[in-house]
Amino acid sequence: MTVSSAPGVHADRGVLDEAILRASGITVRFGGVLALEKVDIHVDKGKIVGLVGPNGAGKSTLFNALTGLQALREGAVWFKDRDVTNDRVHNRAKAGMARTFQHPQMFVGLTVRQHLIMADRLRHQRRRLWTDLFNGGGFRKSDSSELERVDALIELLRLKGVADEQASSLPIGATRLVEVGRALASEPDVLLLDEPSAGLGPTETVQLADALISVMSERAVSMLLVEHDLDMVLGISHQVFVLDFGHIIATGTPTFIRNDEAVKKAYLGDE
Amino acid sequence: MIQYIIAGLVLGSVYAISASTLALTYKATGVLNFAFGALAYLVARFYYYLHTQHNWGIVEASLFAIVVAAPIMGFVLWAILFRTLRLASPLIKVVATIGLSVAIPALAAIIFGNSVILSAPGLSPQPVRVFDVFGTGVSLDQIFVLGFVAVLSGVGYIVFKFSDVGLRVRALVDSPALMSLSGSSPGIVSAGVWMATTMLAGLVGVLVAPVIGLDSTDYTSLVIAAFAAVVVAQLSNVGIAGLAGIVLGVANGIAVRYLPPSSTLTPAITSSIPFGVMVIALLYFQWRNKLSFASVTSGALDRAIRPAATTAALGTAERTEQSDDKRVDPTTRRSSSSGTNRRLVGTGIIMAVVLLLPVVLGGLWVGVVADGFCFGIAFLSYTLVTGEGGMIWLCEITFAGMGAAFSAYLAGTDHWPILLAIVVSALVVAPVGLLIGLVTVRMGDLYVALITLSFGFLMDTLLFTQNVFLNFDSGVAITRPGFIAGNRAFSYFVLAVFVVLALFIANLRRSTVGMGFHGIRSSETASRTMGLPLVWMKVLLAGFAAFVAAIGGGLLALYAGVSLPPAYATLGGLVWLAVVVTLGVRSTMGALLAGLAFTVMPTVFQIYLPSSLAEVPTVLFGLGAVMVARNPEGVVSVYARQLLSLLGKLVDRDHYRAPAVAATNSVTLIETTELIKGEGTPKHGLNGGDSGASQQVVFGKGVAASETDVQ
Repeated sequence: MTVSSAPGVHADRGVLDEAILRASGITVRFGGVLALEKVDIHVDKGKIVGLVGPNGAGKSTLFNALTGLQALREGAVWFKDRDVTNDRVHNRAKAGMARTFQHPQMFVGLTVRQHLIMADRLRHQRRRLWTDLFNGGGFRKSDSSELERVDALIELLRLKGVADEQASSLPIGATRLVEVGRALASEPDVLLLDEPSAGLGPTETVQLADALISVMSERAVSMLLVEHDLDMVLGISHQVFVLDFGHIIATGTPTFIRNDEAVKKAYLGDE
Repeated sequence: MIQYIIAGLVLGSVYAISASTLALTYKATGVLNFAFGALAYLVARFYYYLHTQHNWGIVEASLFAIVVAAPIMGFVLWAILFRTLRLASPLIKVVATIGLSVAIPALAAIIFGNSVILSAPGLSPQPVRVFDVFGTGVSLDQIFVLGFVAVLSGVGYIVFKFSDVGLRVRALVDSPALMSLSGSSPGIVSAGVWMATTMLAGLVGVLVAPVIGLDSTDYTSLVIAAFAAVVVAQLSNVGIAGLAGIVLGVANGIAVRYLPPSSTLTPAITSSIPFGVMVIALLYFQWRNKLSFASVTSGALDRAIRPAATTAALGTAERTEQSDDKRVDPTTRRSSSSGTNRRLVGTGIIMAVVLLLPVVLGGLWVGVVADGFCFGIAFLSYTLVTGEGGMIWLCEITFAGMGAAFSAYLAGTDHWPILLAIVVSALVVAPVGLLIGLVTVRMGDLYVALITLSFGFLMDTLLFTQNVFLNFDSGVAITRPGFIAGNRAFSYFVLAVFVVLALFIANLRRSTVGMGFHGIRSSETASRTMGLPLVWMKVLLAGFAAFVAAIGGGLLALYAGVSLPPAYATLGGLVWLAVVVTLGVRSTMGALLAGLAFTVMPTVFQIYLPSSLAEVPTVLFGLGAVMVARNPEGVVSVYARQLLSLLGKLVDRDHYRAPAVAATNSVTLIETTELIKGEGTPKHGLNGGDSGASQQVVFGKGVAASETDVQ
């Protein structure tokens, strides 16, 4: 089964009314290896979309292609009705695309709160990157609105007890939440989560899933979830794409995916 | 013409052996050995000691120095340093080997004496026989060089292509981890590589001794010129490195042939050739997007299954490592509120003592301290570019020299007020830093080090040799304004400048952009995806660092009363870096103390101790930089913070007195973790199981607490 057009798609433009993020015809090649071939995928507004597939299917490559970390051989990426294929990573971030990493990338030397403050400032007071240098901004405390936003995030992600701890010294479950918080502090329109449950136990995974659902409902953030844990993905996603050997082999609701023969074959073999 | 080509071939052969060995070392161990020249010098000096000073025969002395002593030295260095470096960050590798290159010649001076040796024998008996080749005289020493490069090429090819040893070295290159799993010891092979390459360094040292004498600076310069060939070979292609070395040598010979011998530009141009080639090659590779380290530093597997012993060797800080390629390096430091308070106390104490120094000291020492303050300002440039930016720039001393030279020119020739001249000169130098930053910002750390080193050498030979700055080797005299004519007033003036710059840096560090630099040092990928403008942040930081270095350079010249460009030679910058890293490259106080140590320690040794120990401070600075491999924050910085921790415990007794407080902290954290995990639910930790989760949390807190302790 190949990917079908979502309702409201203007096929000629590759843009749709419902999709906030859309990639079409993505092809990525590493030397002689075709990692992705003509992959189409889209994330609808206010939805959680899952991207699953066996090891080596090309999930992380597709993820990197969407965020701009991986150059494309062919294809285009559209974000909020704009072609961002040639935009640099930080410009996509400024436009409202945030991501987390499979291996949490904590900034050594910064507390959890500082991680969120930095992301918040990049969203709301970007000029402070430069003005702080000349007006002693480094010695001033955060303003009240900044504190409110950051505290709200800390509350939402239940990070209050570790807010002033060094983020890099936290357990992995907490660092994943810090990554989510850092991404959310930039108030993204779409959040891309790379294997968020990797390394977590079942309970932590459930906790994380709950947090993501809260984020989606309270902040109307669309999400694309690259994940190994099928139960988690099928439990929280509105729509799921299945990738295998660089091709989308199925797409649909979690219920549909759960019963799809192609998916079963991809995960369990031809037997 | 033949004679120039033969001379070029000889020089090229020396380059070839050096470059091939450096490339082999880099390929097999991931370390570009900046100490290669120093090692070559040490073995050559030892050979001289045996052969000339103790009348050993050529064969016995050369065999003992090159075949016995050099490999033993290589093994010892591998055991205490190089084996811990493979998976360290490029910054640590560069700094540690630079430290070695600083310490070894100074150590040699202590062991063998300070005497200047202008002429040293090679492997041929004296008097050296000269043969007629196509009408050109070729000495036996030159023939030995050409012969060795031919033999080594053949032997090297056979060994690496067809022997079991070659296979094992190639396996080491690909993955020490997989090599271990296949039953071979990567440690033994790595040790063997270091022994063999140190032996080759010794061979190079003995071979070139008749040509350049026994001056350690010349050895280091020669080998750094050979870096050009290594760069052309993209650091790891041994064959191309050798070939490029020979081409470089021959190009040098041809240039000497066609350039006017009477021109002062001729030596400048010929000695600039390797550095010009290095810059061009780096820019070309960058343009072609070929500046990648992926193939030579092994892979994630090696990091993932790194033996526990190695991890322990790399220190506690490694526990905080990121999954990014950036390893823990001198630019990472933790902070906490109690740590911050303690640092403030420490800073206050240091500043109080420093403020008193010009008052309580008299005579010579006031000047020594003032000089140290000037160096402190120049060293702040490392605090910025390396400490904050996480970049390895080896030309900060060049910016200082440019600041000194330009300000002396403006004040001396154009009669500008000297202080204005210093500021304007720094403003002229800053764009140079910006430009280099812009060119190098997307290069890997090691390439940035190489290109800045090349820039420094190019300025040494092309700019600092101009008579308008050099003034017939006497330098351009400058005079201090009346209000800072005395050393005491001058020292307070310089200290005031230092404080202004240090406050600016402190503000930068605490500001939004400072937090951004934390991000950049930890993970550039994550920083980019957050929307941080990495390029501009780094470029502007580099420009500001150049500005600060130039201010420091101008003030150094003002203290000395003369701007003498050779005082700012690039190789001297390696010692500067070693000093700063030893005292703490992330700290403004570290820069100030490094400046004071750099002037006070040598003066103390000079005045109060035998002259044979004059090089001890340099050895200590070099070893301090070497120890960055184990104490990434700087060995003195670490001990100082431990001292401050003790002081903090005395001052802040309440904090440390009650175990109940510590217990409360633990409880809070555990509760927090339960919040994260879900209250009242089974706790599945990182490593599986309830206890694992709790232990991880407590361990996490333990790490934070223990590291707070040392702050």
